[in-house]
Amino acid sequence: MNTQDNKRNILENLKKDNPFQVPENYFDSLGSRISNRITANTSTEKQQYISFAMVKSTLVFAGGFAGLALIIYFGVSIFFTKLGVEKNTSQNEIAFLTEYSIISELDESTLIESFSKENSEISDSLHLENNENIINYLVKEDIDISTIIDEL
Amino acid sequence: MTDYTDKDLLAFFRIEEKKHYAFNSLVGKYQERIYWHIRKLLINHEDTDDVVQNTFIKVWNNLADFREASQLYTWIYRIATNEALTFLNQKKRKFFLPIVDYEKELINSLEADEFFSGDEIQLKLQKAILGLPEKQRVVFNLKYFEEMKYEEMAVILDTSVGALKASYHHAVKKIEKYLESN
Repeated sequence: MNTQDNKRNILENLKKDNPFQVPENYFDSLGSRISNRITANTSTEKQQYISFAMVKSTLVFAGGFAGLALIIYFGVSIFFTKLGVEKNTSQNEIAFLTEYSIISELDESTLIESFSKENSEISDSLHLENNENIINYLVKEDIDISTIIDEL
Repeated sequence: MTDYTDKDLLAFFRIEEKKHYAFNSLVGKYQERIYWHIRKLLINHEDTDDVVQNTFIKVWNNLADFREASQLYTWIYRIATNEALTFLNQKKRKFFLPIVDYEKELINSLEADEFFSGDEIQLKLQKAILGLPEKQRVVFNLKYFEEMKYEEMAVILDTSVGALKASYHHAVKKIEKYLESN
């Protein structure tokens, strides 16, 4: 019975002294080390805030500049339109120059091929035109197909 | 440094010019209790030092929002306990250690610790405590070493007094069994 009681009292009989230790003067400097970390964190946060504020102001400036440039562009284009400077003229000029430059780059064989293609298209259209004339003539003169066959 | 009450320190903290003074006083007042609480869970001094600093940095960041629904020191203990348990879990995950291996790791750390000055029976007791599940360790340490009231522990650990009593009872049984068999 006594042995059991002794066993139960093991914890109660143990010294509750702290068996752990810390390096010398540890607690004297702990407070200042925590304060230093807080100060470092705060200054980093401030720097981040300042850099964000700087970027923000730069973005606002850039946006304003872009807006101003757009206003000037539209102002100038409206001004020139009112003065009668026609866009078409310049577009025609550009088209002429482009065509000219294309022609100057073509060789002889390409030109011949291109013209012959155009001629065949013209002859096709003439052929169609002739057919229409014949039909119109036959209708006008009231010539039956059997008459034509007989003539042939 | 003058011994201010928690209420005084909180009032000073809310005044911008006295904020740092109030916080330094608060650290001075609680640093040792918080350190030993964490040290008994983490064993290693360097780890404890990191977690203590993180705890007080969290206190600094959140003290302005502390609404005095609980006592200041139970609130700080709660932060410290959470920080210590989070640290333990992170360490386990970092090294992919199962619970049993991590206990061995802590026991090895305890045996090799140059800042452990306990005798043989104290070493045995610490080894027995390290064999407990983490939350039971917290309960046992707070009750056995710090003689904290169950009501205060209930606030810190967000558990009922009944559950804490049961937890402490189981912890004592396991430790006694370990001490008897070793």
